[in-house]
Amino acid sequence: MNKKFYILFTLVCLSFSLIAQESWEVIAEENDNLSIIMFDEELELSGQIIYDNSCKSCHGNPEKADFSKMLPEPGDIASESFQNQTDGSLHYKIRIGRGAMPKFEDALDSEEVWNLVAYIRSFNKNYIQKKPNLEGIVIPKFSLALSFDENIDKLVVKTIGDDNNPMSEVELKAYIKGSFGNYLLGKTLTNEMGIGYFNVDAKMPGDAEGKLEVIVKARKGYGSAKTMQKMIMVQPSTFESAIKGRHLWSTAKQAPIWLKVTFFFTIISIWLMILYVVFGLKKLKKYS
Amino acid sequence: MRAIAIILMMAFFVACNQNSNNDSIDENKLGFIDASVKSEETNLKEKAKFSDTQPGKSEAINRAFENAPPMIPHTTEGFFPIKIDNNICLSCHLPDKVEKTGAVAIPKMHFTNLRPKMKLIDGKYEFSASDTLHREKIETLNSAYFNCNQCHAPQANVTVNIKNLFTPEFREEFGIKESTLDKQFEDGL
Amino acid sequence: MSLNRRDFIKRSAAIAAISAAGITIPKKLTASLPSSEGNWKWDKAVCRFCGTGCGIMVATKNDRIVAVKGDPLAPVNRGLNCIKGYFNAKIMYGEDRLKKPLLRVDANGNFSKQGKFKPVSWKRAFDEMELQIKKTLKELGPTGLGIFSSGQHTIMEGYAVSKLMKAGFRSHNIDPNARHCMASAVVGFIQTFGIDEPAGNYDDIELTDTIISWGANMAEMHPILWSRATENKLSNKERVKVVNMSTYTNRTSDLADLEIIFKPNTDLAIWNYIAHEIVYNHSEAIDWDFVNKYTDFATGVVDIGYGMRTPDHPKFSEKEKETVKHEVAKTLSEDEGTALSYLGYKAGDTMEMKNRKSAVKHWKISYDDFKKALKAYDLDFVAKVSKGDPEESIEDFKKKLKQLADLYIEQGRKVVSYWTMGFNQHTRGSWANEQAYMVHLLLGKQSKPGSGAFSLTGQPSACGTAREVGTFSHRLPADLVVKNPKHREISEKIWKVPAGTINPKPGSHLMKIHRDIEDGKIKFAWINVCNPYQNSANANHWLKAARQMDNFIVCSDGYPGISAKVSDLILPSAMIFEKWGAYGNAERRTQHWKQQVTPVGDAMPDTWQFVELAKRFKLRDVWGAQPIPGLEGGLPDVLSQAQEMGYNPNDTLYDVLFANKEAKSFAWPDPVGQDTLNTEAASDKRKVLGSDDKPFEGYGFFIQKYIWEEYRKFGLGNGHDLADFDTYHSVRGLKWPIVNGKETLWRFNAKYDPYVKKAGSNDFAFYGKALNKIGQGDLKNINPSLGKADFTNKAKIFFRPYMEPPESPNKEYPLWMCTGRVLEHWHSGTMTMRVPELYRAVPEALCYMNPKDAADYGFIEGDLIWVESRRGKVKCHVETRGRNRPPKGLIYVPWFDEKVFINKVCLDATCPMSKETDFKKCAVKIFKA
Repeated sequence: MNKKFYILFTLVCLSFSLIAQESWEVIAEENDNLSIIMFDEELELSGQIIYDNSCKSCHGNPEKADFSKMLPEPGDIASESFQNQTDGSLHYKIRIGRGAMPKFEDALDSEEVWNLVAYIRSFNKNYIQKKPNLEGIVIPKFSLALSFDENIDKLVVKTIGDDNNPMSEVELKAYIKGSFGNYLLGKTLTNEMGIGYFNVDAKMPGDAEGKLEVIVKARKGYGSAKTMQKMIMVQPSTFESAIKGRHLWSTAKQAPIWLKVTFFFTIISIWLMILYVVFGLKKLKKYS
Repeated sequence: MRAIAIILMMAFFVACNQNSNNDSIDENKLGFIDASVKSEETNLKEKAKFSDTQPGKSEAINRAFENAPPMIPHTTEGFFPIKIDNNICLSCHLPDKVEKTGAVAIPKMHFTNLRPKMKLIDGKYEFSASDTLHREKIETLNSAYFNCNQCHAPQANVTVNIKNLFTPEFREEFGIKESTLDKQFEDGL
Repeated sequence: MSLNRRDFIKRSAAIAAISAAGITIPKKLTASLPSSEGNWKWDKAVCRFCGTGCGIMVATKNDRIVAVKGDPLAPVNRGLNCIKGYFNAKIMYGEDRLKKPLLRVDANGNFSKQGKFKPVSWKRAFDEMELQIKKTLKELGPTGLGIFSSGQHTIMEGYAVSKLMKAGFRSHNIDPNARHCMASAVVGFIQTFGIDEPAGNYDDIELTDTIISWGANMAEMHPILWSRATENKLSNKERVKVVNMSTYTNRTSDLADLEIIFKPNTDLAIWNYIAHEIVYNHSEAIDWDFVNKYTDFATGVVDIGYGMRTPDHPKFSEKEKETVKHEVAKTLSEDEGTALSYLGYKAGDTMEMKNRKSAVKHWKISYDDFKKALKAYDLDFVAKVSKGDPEESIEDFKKKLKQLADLYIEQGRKVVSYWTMGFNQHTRGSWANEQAYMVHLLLGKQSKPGSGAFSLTGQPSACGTAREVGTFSHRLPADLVVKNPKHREISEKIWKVPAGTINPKPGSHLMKIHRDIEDGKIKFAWINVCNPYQNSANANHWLKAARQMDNFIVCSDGYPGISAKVSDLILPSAMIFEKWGAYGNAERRTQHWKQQVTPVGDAMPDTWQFVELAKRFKLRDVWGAQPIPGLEGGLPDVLSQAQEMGYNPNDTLYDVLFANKEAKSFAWPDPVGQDTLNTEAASDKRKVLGSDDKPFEGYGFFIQKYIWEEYRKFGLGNGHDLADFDTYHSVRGLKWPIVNGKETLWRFNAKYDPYVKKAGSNDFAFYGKALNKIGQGDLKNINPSLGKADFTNKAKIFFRPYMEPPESPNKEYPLWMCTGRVLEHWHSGTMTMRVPELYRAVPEALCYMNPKDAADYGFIEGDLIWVESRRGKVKCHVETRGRNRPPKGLIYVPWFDEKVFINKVCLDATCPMSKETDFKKCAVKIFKA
């Protein structure tokens, strides 16, 4: 009774947990959540980058079913079990996580999670994206104009609506594009003149002209806009080659002249000495 | 052999020395800012510190020229501001207190009144002409000299980057330390 | 002490050795060498610094200044100077004194704005100036030229440059830095009295019972006057009262009986409270005899904007527009609603600034209207509006205000009100000045010994040069104005130039010259004896315009300041004691001095620079027809008239303006200049290579005396009479008008001012001629049916309301920022920072703030912080226990320090009437650096 019973019991319980894992229920509201933006290649690409950084370690390469061996199985994102879920359900599960699957709510914002969903859907050829019911909802449309106020070292973002009026209460996020990722300058809301300001540290390193590449993302309700621009905001960084000029540590061509001269004469004298000895010996031989 | 060696040495030295002579002036080196006018940097890394030695323990600062007002070598912490009912400088520097305190005595010119009083004649004010010297010795300090820090200031411990080429000359041995103003007052009048 | 040869050689050797080793030698040894024996030459001179105008004596030996002492005979200071006054000895000897002209050139030696400075000859400098001026005249006409003149110019220099610009180049784009200093006071004088400059003199200090200092830190800024006030106070402790009205506690408060800390801009409200007290509660104090005979009431328009450019100007950044939008329309605050209720406004109304271009409009009103307008300014309202220290109780503050009013009202109490920049550098500065006169005139306490409103001058010769010589964009000498055709005629006659030479359209004032350079409307500018790129608010705009736009900027200075750094050509200029000159101080005292030493290096006096430039221009270059934007028909061709007058179109401006027959009649040598150097007249030992590359030998005639005697002609008989040149060299200055050899002590008072009798009165007469005929109306507007009122011999008592400044602290920028000077440094510090004693006394500009504010922000004393406004930011160190102790909510940063360039932060709003910048208030935020 004893040993066998306990093993069976544990296995049954585990299987329940497995079964329980199979059905990860999502509430209706979240299930029906839909992305306003249509998935396109750009979003899929962004999603892929996030996937490769944050998800591949467990879910493996899509369509290859090489996910890591865990219980419950992470699953291949291209598989049916994933594709049969709604967009909203996927969005919810990525955000909230469960058990071994971490919650990505804090690390990624809603837009980035939609990018992941776009990537997941890219492996489903039959996928037709459902559009949300936007009846009665006005999607604000606006454009962004960037400039730099060098007197007070601030990045100035102007939001202008479709009707050429300034838009207030728009959430703005500004980033500086770096070699290894984007540096967040700050988040702010536009004022009643439609302008938001970001402090720029004048000591940040820019390129040879002092330019930095700025990315600004704006969102108000369901409307969003994004712009990228290279602007002069900091002091030009001068990259001086450390081996420029004549130094001991420069290249052979730029070696200090005194060194070259000394080297030349030393070698010449050594060769002369060798030749002297050789000819001397030869002479000796002759005379011996 | 020797000649060749010498020539080689000279060539050697010439090659080592590269000098470009330029008399152009970088505008960022003019004036006090060692940077362009766009710069928002201050020059002093730390707020300048003034002397904190107690009065009596500091060395007197030489006068800048003959009979110039001497600068304050000791701390002024707590002594300034000078208020109308509380002038701490006087409590040590008045001539009748100097024996006890050992401070530098306020010189005689500070006890002289040079301003003649205005006379009211027939309801009209008249002045004495400006080419006669009015010189009146008074017992107490001439109140026009009450605000000591109008002429005497403490000196901070900072490097002076732009030098001043004024060279003082003193006609008397003591001119560098003491006031000789009351003796030479009428020079040039 | 007799020495034999052996001893002498021994001692000299010892001294040489010791000096080489750097040890100080006992004085006995040096004294025994004959070189340091006596033979000093003392001469009288004037202090280089503030408007007090102290007399000093300068000792020279071997062409160097060796000592300075207070002039015992000078009535202003009687032998006492302040710390800056004493160090007049050292100001000319800074190490980096400019010695050669410097021009920006490229590798080929041609002028290039991107080039580095290279020393060039005077000829090359003038060649380039001539080229650029001719280019600008061709492209833009006379309005394309601009000159930054100065209240520190000697009277002769100011006259020379004014004549050259107005009669020669026919442009009025010449404006002094006195525009930043006294313009509001001038408008106050002209509007109230019809004539410029104070009625009283410094002797009021000794004769008065009450000294009230409004927004003026007299202890630091006019130290000698303050020492005279201290002397009066300490000699009459009970009777004499001293009051300090200020936005922060300063050294003046330390000697005051009553200190009132008020909120910035509310001085307007406090004056009205005093008037309210007089009119409603103490009407027996009104001197009706005086008021009825010699004054009448007036008021003016209020929707005048703030002197800024409109928000649609392309050069404004977005942040700046937050403030600039008030230039076209402003929503009235609670306080403004009450203050302006007499005009029918209420809080929340939008005031549209319709009278931006006609701000000086004013008209006569009745006493009843005047009284009605004051109704709102009772103690409760004014105390609420103006209390400046959040930690003070409103009851205490009310008590203080009442005390102040009582001091003014008290029968038999003589009162003098003094003010300087607190009133003048104010967006309603002209109003504040007028209000000072309002109270004094109502009480009859004006133009009497010991009683009067006295506008103190900041600069040593803002009165003498800028105002009296008229080096302004709208003025001519002796209070004449450009707009008046009769005045132009008088000037043309005295200057002996053809009728129609002088441009009838006033030019650009100082801020407008900056703005025009930024707009490309001025392409040639010449800076003289001032530092406009450090002293003008909103500096980032002007620095950019100077460096990045296509223009040519010349800077004449003794030392390389910020203006020199952004200029294209720097000219080394002689400093004060290296030339003959004259200054006029705040009490109308004109004082002359002689040249004491030879200028340094190749530096030449400013007069020489102007005169040499005049040699490069022929009449045909400048007196032909010229286009003037905004003037129909432009300037007429006066060459034919010139020929009728005997001139040749090929004569140079030098021949006509400076070396004409009359000039040459003043011979040099002249008895008054015996044994004295005169670089312009006779050259000096350096024989500098002049503008033609030949050694300069001197003009051969006494040019300074010629300029003086010609300038005198303007004022004689007009209430501006000056004495002849020689007289001034035998006295310690004289107060004009000088009639029959006697100076005038109190103007407009029959006992002392001969012009009053001439005007037909036996008591008082405010005989100023300007603005005497104005309209009449009610508080809101002129009523044309009432005809004109005549103010001949009468002064105006103005009613002016309280209004707020365009930029007040808000959530994002929560602190007031005020700027100004400190005792030890003068203006932009180019001279005083190079004197080690003065530098060590105050080595940097600190941010003076309230210790509780510092604690709230988490700063400790000495922390480095950013001070940021909508226009720029600077770094400075925190000071919580300094000489200035601001209340919570205000910080003070002085502007003498190049390294703490506070004008990047300040706002260039001006009084719309006087065009004077308000440096005393803007909104900033501070955070750790």
